[in-house]
Parts: sequence; C-alpha cells; structure tokens
Amino acid sequence: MNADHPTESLREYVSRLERRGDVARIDRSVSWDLEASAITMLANQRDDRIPLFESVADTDIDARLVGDPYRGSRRRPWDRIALALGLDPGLSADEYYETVIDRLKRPIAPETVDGDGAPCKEVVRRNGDANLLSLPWPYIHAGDGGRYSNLHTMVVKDPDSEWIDWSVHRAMVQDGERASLLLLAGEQTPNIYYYKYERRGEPMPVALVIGGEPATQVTSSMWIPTGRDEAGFAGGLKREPVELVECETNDLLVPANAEIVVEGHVVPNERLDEGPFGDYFGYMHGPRRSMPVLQVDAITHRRRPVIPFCVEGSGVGHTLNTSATVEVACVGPDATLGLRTAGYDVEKCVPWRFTSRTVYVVSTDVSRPGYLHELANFIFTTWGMLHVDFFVFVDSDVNPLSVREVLESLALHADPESDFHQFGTVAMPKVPLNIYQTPEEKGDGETGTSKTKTTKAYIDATSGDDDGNRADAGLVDDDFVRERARDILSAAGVTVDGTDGGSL
Amino acid sequence: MLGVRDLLDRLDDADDLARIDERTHWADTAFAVSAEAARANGPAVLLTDAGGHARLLAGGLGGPDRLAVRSRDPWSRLGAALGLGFDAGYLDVLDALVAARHGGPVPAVESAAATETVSDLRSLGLPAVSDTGVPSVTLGLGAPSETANGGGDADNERASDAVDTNAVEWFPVRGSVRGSNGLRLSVPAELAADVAAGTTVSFALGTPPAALVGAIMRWVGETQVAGAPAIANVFGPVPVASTAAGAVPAESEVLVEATITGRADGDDAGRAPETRREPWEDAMATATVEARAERVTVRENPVVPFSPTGAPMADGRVLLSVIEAARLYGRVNNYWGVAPVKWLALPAETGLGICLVASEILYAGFEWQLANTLFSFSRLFDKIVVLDTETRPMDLARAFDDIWVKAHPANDWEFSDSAAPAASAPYYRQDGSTGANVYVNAAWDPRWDEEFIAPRVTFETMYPEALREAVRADWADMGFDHGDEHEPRGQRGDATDGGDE
Repeated sequence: MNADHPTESLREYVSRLERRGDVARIDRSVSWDLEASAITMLANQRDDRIPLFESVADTDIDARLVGDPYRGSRRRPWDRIALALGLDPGLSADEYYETVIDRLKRPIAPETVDGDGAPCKEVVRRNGDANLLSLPWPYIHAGDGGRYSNLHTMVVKDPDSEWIDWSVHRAMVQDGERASLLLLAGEQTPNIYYYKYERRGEPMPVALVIGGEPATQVTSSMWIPTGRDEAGFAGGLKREPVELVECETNDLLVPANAEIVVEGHVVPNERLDEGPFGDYFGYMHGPRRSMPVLQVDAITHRRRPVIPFCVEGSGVGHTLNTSATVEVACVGPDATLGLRTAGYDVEKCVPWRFTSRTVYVVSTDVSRPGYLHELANFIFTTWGMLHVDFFVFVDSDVNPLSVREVLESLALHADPESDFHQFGTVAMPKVPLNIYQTPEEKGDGETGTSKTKTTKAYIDATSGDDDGNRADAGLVDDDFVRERARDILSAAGVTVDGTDGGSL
Repeated sequence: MLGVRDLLDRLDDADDLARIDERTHWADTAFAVSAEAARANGPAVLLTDAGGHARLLAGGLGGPDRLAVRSRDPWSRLGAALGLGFDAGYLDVLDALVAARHGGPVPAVESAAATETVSDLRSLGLPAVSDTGVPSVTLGLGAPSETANGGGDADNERASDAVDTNAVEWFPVRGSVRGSNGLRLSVPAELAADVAAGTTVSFALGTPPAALVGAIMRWVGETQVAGAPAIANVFGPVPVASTAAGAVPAESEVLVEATITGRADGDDAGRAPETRREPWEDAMATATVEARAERVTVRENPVVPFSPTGAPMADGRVLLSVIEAARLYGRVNNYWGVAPVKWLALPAETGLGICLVASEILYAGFEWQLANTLFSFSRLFDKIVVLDTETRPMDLARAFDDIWVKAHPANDWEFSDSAAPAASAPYYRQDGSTGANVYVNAAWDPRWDEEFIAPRVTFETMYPEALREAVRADWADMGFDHGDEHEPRGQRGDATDGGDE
C-alpha cells in the first residue's frame, strides 16, 4: 500500500485499518469487565487483528471500545502508525525512522476552530450529566485497582507561560466525578502540578482527550522538549495543522476530532488510591499509591464514541501492544532526533524490543573519550527518565531494532571489566513502577517517586579496540556476491527481506 | 539417529530444506548463500551444483533463532539428526546428551560406503568459508591411527576384523585445503601432541551427526566421558569402517587418508588454517597440524555438510551451544547432591558469550554459588543470567526481559574482582589478560514475602478460566484468524513448548 493522506480522527484510522483487513469488528455484546481486554490481549499475543467492540454491555452512553488500536505487526512494528500518518506501511525501518525524524524537525502550528462544528462536542454533558461511570471504561486485568482510561492525551497548561503540555497519565475511575491520576514527579506534567499548582494551592485545569486523532495521541508519548507544544509536533507529523477547539469549562484547547474530552481540574492536596495495575514491564505490581485527584467538570463526546484502551503489560517479549508500539515507532525516532539535536552523533535510539521503557539501545560512533558517559548521563537526567534504568550503546552499524545484533554486541563486546558503568551506584531516582523494589522501598511518596534510590547504568557494547567483529559483520564483503546469494535464495522461496520480526 | 542422507530427507519432509539446483560456486556463492540463509533464519540449504564433486549442505545442524515467534527451535534439526525427533524439547535434547556421556555399545564394523576414489581434495569443491577463496573443512571429524591414539598396533590393516573398536578415537577438525592435496588443520591440542610427522590420520566429512557430536563431546572440557564412537552409538548404531589410520563412521560421505607433515607451532604459530575459527575451538586448547591427503574416496553423489561459520546461528555455533549447555547442565545438577537447575543454555543467539540458567534458588546466596560454579566449569563466557524456573528455554524474549526488569540494577548485577580469567567467546581480552565477570540475578529473592512476588501479565494469568475458554472458542467467529501457533511459545495455554514440562 502506498502513502496516503494522514488520518484526521481515530475512527478514520480504524476505517483505514479495516479496509486493509486489520480489524476484527465484533458485533456481539462484550463486557467491559475483563472480556474486552481478554480478547485484546489474546489478539496481541497472536499478532492478530485489532478488535473493535461495537456493542458494549452495561453502559449508559452507547460507546464502543477498540483494543490496542496502534499495535503494530511483529514483523514491522511501525506499519500501522505509518498508515495513520499517511506513510507507506511497507517502509523499511531506516526509511520510517528518517521520515518521522524529518517531519518532527518541521513542526506546524495548530489551528483553533469554532466549537460549534467540532466533532468532539456533538454531545456536551455538564454537572450531573457528566458522569464518568456512564462510559464503559474497561477493567483491564484481574487484580487491577479499578477501571482505567489509559490511552488518552492529558492536556495541561504551565501556569507561568503559554506552554501547553500533552502527556499520557493513566486515570483510575473512582466514581462518577473523580479519577486518580498517575502523576510521577520527574515527568513534565507531574512537575507542573506538584511544584507549581499544588504548591500554590491552585487547582490545575485538565482535559483528558480520549480517542484524539492519531498524530496527537502518539505525540503525547514523545519526549518533546520543555516549553514546546506537542500540538506543533503533531502537525509536523501529519504535515498539516492539528485542529483544536476550546474546552467548555476551561480555556484549554483540545483536538477537535477527539472521541471524548473529559474536562476537569486536579484538586490540590487531595489524594486517592491508584493501582495496583498490570504495568508496561509485564508484571502486575503494587501496592496501591496515593495519587492526585481529577475532579470532572464536563464531558463532551462524539455520538457513539470509540474509547481506545491499551492492555498494558502485554507489550513485552515478542508481543506488542499500543504502548510498546508507540515506544518503538514514535519515541524512538523522537529520541533519536533529540540526541542528534543535542549534538550527539547518534544513528538510532531504540527501545529494547522485549521491554520497551526500561532499556534503550543507542547506535553511535564513539567520537571521543568520555563520550558515552556524557551521552548516558545527558539522557538519564532528562524528564521522564525515572522509568529508564539502562542504556546499551552499540556500534553505529549495528541495527538497534535487531535484537540478535544487540544481544551479540552485548555478549561479545561488553567487557564486565571495563564496559559496565554505574552499576551498584545507588544515587538515582526511580518511579515505583517496578518489581525489583519492595513495597517498603517504594513507599508512598507525596510526589509519586520511590522512597529509595536506584541505579541508572549504561553498557558500552561498542567494539572499541576489541580484537574481533560481530559474527556477521563483513561476512560477505562483496556486495555483488551477497546480492546474487539473496537472489538465489529468493528464487528458491527463502525470505531474505531483512524483516524477521515474527515469522513462523 | 540419522545419517546425512536420511537427515536430508527428514528436513525435506519437514519443509525445512531449500534445494538449490542453480549453479553456485564453492569459492564464493556457496558460502554467501548459506550465510544469508542463516542470517535470515531460513531453512537448511542443499547446493546441488557448486562446481565440485560434492553437493553441499549448510544449516543441516543450524536453526532459526528464538528472537521471534517461530515453529522451529535452534535445536530442531540437531534433535532430528540424533533421532530425538524434529519437535524434541530442549530438555529432551539436553537429557539425551547428558545420558550419552556414559557411552553406548561398541560400534559394529562395516565396509566404508565411500568407495569411489577422486583425483584430489580440491576436486571435491569444498566451500570457501571466508573471503580468501580457500576451500575449507568444517564439521569435520578426524581419526588418528591407533598407535597415535595409544591403542592397537600400527600395521595400517584395512580389514574390518583388524579394527579394535574400543580403541577408535575421533576428534573435531577444522581446516583449509592448500593446493591439490595439502591440509592445514586445527585439532585439539592434546591430540596434536600424539600425531607426529609421518603418522597417518584419516578425516571424514559428511559423517552421521551423532559421530560429530561424540567427537566434540569427547574433547570439550569433560574428563569422564566415553569415547566418541561409544557416545555416538547411544543415539543409534554408528558402524565404523577401517581406514589407513583409525576407523571412521562407515556411512561417511567423504574419506581422506592423510599423512601428517608437520605442526604449526613455535615459530610457525601464525600459520593457522585460512578459514574462520569454529566455536568448538573456543572451548578447548587447539593446535595446528599440516597434512597431505594420500587418498580421497567418496560415496556416489556425496553430500558434504558445512557450517557457514561466522553467520548467526551457523551449524557449528548451534552444535556447541547445545553440547556445552548439556555438559554444564549435567555437572551442576550432580554437584551439590540435588538437581536445582531446570535448564541451562548458552544461546547461539548471543554468540555463546552469555549463559542462562533457570534454577531453584535453594537459599539466599545460592545464585552466587551457582554462577561461580559455572564460571569455573566453562571457559567460554563471562556473563551469566540466573532466571526463575518458570521461564521457558525457548522463550528468550522473557529471559531478556527479566534481566532488565526483575534484576535490581544496584543489587543484582554482581561483578567479580579483576582476577577472573578471560572468556574465550567474546572478542575482548583475547590476549588472555584477567578481568571481571558478571552474573545477573533475575530470579526472585527467596527471602521476599510471597506478597512481594509480582504476577506476570499474560492471557493465562490475568483472566478467569471460563472467560479464557470462551474467548478461545469464539475466536474465529469474532473475526480473528491467527491460532495459538502465533502465540509466544512460553505463553500458549496448552503449554505446547516442545515437551519441556
């Protein structure tokens, strides 16, 4: 399939997927209570179609669910997001990464449109009519602390500037009017809340955008620099402005084509339980934490809105889900651009395929003594890095998207004597979303970080002065012979296209 | 137990063999095709026209990696070759190799199947396994004369009744062909000490894989194992045939009777064979000998298996991966009077530089004992990952998830001091200088309260059984078409993971 125009809404994206044969449209009634997520998790594990649940039982508002809509295929994890952005899903990894990087280099400012015609305001609910429990938020894993909205864009404004920050912080529904928000200090929006609004005793206006158009959703997970609006980068990604519309109860601007917008404010100095939750690293973990409280002021939505959700925790190992896909397909190119912009000679920065937010692989030339130390600590000290414990550096000709190439570099080039750095240095902050700290070590801090510190370590798996090379580096030096060999194999029916992510 | 020809049929039946009749050449494209096939996790390839007498088989003992969801395992072809079945579980293969250490019946004696004499070694068209264009010997087996081996007399009789089957010895060999009949060979150093210039040695190519397994097991790090022929016979009858030197597997596709002409040590130590080192050479001391082929005989339309050495998942790497893992697995499970280790692997995917061991942690600190025992038993690796027993051997994705998320980066990455010997598989410190090793404890701490142990998020663990059954039953009706064969092997509901449970 060739490049197309970017999709303007979640439902247009789902339709495009469906035309491609990538959607399982399920008409029978499905429960939000584990059933929708069970089906989605099995689809994730089987690398099968994206489930669209047309009929959800026990919901006041006739809403639909879509499970892990941005999950990519195992062979080509970026394919569906490419489709959403109007790119050819058949792009190679290099082509895709460089295309996204190029688009992110050229942001396009959003346009504000009138609310009257905005799809997200087809239905406006205020006061007693704005009831969170009227929507079919999924109960995702048995053992979760509650029902969640976990695939949305959270919109907040810096009180001291015009900066609007978009981010993804899951919300656990408490009752019709309240949800607890996972705000972990060290990330941009939590910092704005804990160290500005709450310290001043002021409520923080918030909009949760559920089912925003794809470019806005994926941009919300990126490492966009402080002070820069994600909306512009979303426009850059789709090469046209994102249309925004003002909220009903505050002056925040939200994507006009969103399925649902929950308007509200975070109440200073109030906390409610959040978690346990089956989390991105593949384990159910707790304990419950005390987290800030979203008080709902209004809910606006499209008719028959579609609520996207992510079966978090399923995107580990061979299996992808939305968050793992967005890490590989969006955060990776964005991080690569960020490091290049900061002056580092980085070929690619890619999340580790088997667990995406704990370790990243960076392919780079080592240009000077101390380069990797400087690069590692540059990254570790940026916002949002409380999740990340490890960086692995590999040669610039190693493909970080190839687990085998990275593993081999790690095994054969990383010398325990000299290439493992900062292990055992217990000085760095950590979010409590981990399973290696005990509940006591995690504690229940006011700003969400763990009570005890941890290590941020990096591994130099570049070849440096090593005596040998990666097994297949330069194995067949003659390009003509190699191409001839591939042609021979192809003629014999052997697939040698280099995308070996999920073959049986 | 299969010979090479039966293995070909078995691979063909399993749709795991690409037959390439198009003209290739032993000097370049033969290796390129095999290397690209291995890199692509493709099937074994049979090159029927490579410019010499021999048909060439690559990947016959290799296999795909475990870094994607596949229907085959790296050891599937080896399992088939050893008669354990194409679908043999990893532990089935390990257990069989552990049991084989004690050896089976004395081999029977038969006539050699290779009876057609060819003009010289070069005419075979052995593949160049490097960019030098030099014909190479990989997956080769040598047999010293019984004199060199310390047994029998040295009359070089060829009559089968002269074979002292108890004295037959085999060793692995890798080398290059020089000129028409010259050979430069890497062999176990201990063996090389016994083959002086002028002694006869026979080499066999295309032996039953069990014989090659026996030859490597005999020389890799273990002292209390049976002779190679006896090990091979555990997997099924591997009759031997007498040669000018020691007896070799009678079914061998190619026999080379040669005379040792010298050793390349001392001042000649740089004269190594002009091919890439085979992984087994990292597991033992080796020496280089030179030889002259006196007579080369082949079977009709011979098949010579070779390893695209250097390619990921090449035959030689997979072979040593399993053999060394079985050796260590057998040793640690007989070391403390208990058998806490559920499985152990040196994944070929990591170039044999990392050892994974899934074990019960018997008590606090046992992981230290376990890791350091393994470091002392093997010279190949300097990195060990200790895993919980619930992790499955075919699920490398989980192992290389847990290493990052379950092990505390401050407390569970344990580095030794700088006095540890250099490992042989990695590319650093090849001068032998000492340094640190590291083990990662990615197993739950036995001192933790049960409530601290986080459940894994999977379809099986997160949803009630009735719901799971209903979802599976309605799967196709809901519009899905991927069955459980698409699920990662460690997560399938029916635990069809190769018989490791």
